[in-house]
Amino acid sequence: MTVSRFEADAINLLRFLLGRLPASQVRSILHRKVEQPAGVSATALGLIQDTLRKGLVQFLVQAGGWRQDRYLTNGLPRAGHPWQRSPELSLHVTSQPLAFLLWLAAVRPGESRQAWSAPGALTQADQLFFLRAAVALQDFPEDWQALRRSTPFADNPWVWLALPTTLDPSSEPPDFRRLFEDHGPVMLECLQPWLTQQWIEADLTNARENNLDRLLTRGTLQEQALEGFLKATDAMGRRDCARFLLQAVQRRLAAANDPPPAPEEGRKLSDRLRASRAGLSMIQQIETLDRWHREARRSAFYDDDHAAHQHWLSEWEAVDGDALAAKWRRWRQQMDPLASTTP
Amino acid sequence: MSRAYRISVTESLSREIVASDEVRSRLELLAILPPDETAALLRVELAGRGFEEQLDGTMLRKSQAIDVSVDPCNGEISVRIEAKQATVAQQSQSGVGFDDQGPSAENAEATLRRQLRKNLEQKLDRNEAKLQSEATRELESHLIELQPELGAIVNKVTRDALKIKATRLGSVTQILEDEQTGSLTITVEV
Repeated sequence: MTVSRFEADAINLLRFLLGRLPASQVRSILHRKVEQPAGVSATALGLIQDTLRKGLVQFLVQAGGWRQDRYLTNGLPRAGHPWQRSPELSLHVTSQPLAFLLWLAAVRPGESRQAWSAPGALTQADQLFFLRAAVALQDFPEDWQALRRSTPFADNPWVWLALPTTLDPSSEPPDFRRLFEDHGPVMLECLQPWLTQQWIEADLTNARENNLDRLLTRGTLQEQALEGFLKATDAMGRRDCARFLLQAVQRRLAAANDPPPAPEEGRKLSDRLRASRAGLSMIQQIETLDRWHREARRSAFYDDDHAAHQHWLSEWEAVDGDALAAKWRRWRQQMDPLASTTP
Repeated sequence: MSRAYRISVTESLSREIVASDEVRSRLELLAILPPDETAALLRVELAGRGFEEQLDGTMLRKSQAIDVSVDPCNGEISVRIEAKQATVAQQSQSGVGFDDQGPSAENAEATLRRQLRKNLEQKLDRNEAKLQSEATRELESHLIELQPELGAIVNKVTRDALKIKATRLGSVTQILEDEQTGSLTITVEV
C-alpha cells in the first residue's frame, strides 16, 4: 500500500489525535504549512477510516467502556458491558473529522487567519473525535489557543463536559441535552471513570492556583459546565450519568479536612471569597446531588421513576453521600465570614 | 559654547480615592412559620437593634463607613464598607536644559512634567491600594463583631417563631427559656 507524503503525515497526525502517537512525533507536521491537496487516495482514505474507527472505540473502551457496569436503560437499571446494555450501539463518523484532519495537516493553526469550522452538523461520534483531539492538542498550547474558538470545540458539549477550563472564557456553554441524543448516553456511560479523573485533576489544579483572576475564570467555566450538565441530566431522566461527578467529589472531599485557602493577594475580601467559591465549583455541586438523594428518599414504590430514584440512592450510599454533604456544609460555613448565623 | 540652565517644575494632582468591599450571606432561618410571618419577626428584632426600614423593604443599619443591610423576606444579608478620601499629591523636580527658551527648553520642561505626573499617579495609586487594604481590614474586624449579633438575632427569631407555633398547636402550659445558652423548652397541652 502506498500513500503520498502528505497522506502519511495526515495519518500520523490522526494517530496522535487519537492518543496513539506522542506529540514529539507530529510537532513538525503540525508546525509547517503546505498546500492541501484537493483529495486523498482511496488507500489513504481506507487507512484513515480504519484508524478513526478503531481509535474512537479504543478511546471509549480504555476510558471505562471495558467494565461491566450498571446504568439506567428506559428508566430501569441494567447491568453488563456497554454492548450488552445497548446492543444496537454504533458510531457514525461523517467526513468532517477527515476534513479537519486534512486542514490541520496543511496549515499551522496558530498562524491560520481563519478558524476551521465544520460545514455541517456533527454526529455524536464526530463530537467524540473532536473531544479526543482536544485532549491531544493540549500538548500544543499555542495552536490550541487558536483552535479552541472553532465551533467543533467551543460548541461541543463533550469538550465542555471534560475540558471546560481549556476553552475560551468568552465561550457560551452549549445545550448539554445534546449529549443524550442518539448513542450519547452509552458513550457517556463508557467515559465515566475517565471523566472522574479529569475532574479530580481539574479540582487539584484549582487548589494549587494562586492567581485570583485565573481561579475565577476556571471556576466560572467549570460551574457553567457542571450546572448545564446536571440540568440536562435531570431533564433527560439520567441522573445516573452524574456518577463521575459524585465519585470525583468524594475523592476530593476525602483528601482534605479543610477547604483550600483563598489566594492571598492583598485584594478585597469579596474577591477572595468569590475566588474561594470558584475554586470549589466542582465540590459545591454536591448540593444538587444531595437534593436528588433527598428526592429519591421521598420517592414511593408506585412512582414511575422509583427504580431510577433507587438507583441514585445506591450510588449515593456507595460513596457515603450523607457524610460528604455534611463535610461540604462544614466547609461552606468555614468559608462564610458570617456563618455563625445558623441557629 | 552652550550653557546649562536649571529647569524647575512643580506639579500637583488631586483625586478622590474610593475603596469599597462587601460580603454577602444569608441568615439561615428555620421554616417554622410561613415566610411572611418569619419576615415580620425578623423585622421587629432588627428594628430593636437599630436597623431602619428602607423603601425597598430591606432593613439598614449604618455605622461610620459600614452598612449592614438585611432583606427580611429572604434573610439575605450584606455588609458593605465604603471609604472615600480626597487626596492631593504635589511634587517638584528640577532638570537641566541647554536653552532658557525656545523648543528645546519647552521639550525639557514637558518631559519633566510628564515624569512628575507619572510619579504622582503612582503615588495616588499606592494611596488607593493602602486605603483599600485598610477598608478590607476594617470590614474583617467588623464581621468578627457582627457574627455573634447575627447569631443572637437568628436565635431570637427562632425562639419567637417556636412560641407562636406552640400557641397554634394547643395551650402552652410552660415555657422554660435560658437566654444565655439559647435553650428553650415549651410544654404544650394539645
